[in-house]
Amino acid sequence: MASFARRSAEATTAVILALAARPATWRYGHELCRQLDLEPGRLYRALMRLGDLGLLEAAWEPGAPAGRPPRHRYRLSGPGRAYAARLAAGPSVPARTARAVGGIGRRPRPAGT
Amino acid sequence: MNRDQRTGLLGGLVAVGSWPIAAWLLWRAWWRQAGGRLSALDGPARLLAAATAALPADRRDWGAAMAAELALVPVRERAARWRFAAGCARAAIFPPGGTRAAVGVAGAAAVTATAAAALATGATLPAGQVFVPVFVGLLGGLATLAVARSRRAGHAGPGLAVAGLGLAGVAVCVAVLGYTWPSSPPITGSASTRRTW
Repeated sequence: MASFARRSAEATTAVILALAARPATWRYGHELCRQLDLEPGRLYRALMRLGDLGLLEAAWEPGAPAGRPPRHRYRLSGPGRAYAARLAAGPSVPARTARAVGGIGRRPRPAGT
Repeated sequence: MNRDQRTGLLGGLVAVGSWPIAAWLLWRAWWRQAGGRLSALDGPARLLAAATAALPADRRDWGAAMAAELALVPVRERAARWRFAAGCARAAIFPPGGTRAAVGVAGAAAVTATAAAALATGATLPAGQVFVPVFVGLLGGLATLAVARSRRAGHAGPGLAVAGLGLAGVAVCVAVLGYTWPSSPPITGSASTRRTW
């Protein structure tokens, strides 16, 4: 069973890459949960972590219909997009930042190792 | 029943009875503020509202965001709503924050302080051998929780300093109490009676 830290790192990496796939598009929490098949607790912890690091832009949905609260939407910030590009390019993510965001940049271990 | 027994019984009643009263007062104060809003919610939404109410002010938006997403899960899908609310509640109660090392240091300091308090009071202040370690342990737990919930990723924030200051303060209090206690014995009870509280 993967450790808590590794699963958190994988969730954070998955969220960054999912947001980077459509960088200009605002995304929503429930939608990301379903797309990534992530448990909501992991998704929101990853989003909070990215927000704390300045890698995420968050805004409230404008013009929410009556009877429903406005939703929070997310996309990568400029530094977030740059980080995602480096993440996609290879393992050259600064170790300190990688640790701070929960291990982004660590390559998943091959199965069986 | 002699005087010592009556005093002990009264003290026990006060100690045991004060907790439910305090809890009831807190519940009543909280319900006055949030009860009207919560009464309109279903179970998962109540769980989420209760969990996100503990979020620090700079993270309140995340609580509202979670509630808005929960509103999209159909009410008829009760299991899905409970799963979503429980997951969000976990993130709200344990948001990402202080580094694991800082949390570990705070936790280790709390455990060490509690053990030291137990040993010290057991040897020098037998009357406080229950109260002092429990008090130090509770404070250490709260300090560790504060470090774990501190906001800035990669930094422990003020949590570690608060933990250190709190534990140092408790250590000073225990030391002062231990120094002054022998000259100020309890008013009630005979000198030969050793009471643990």
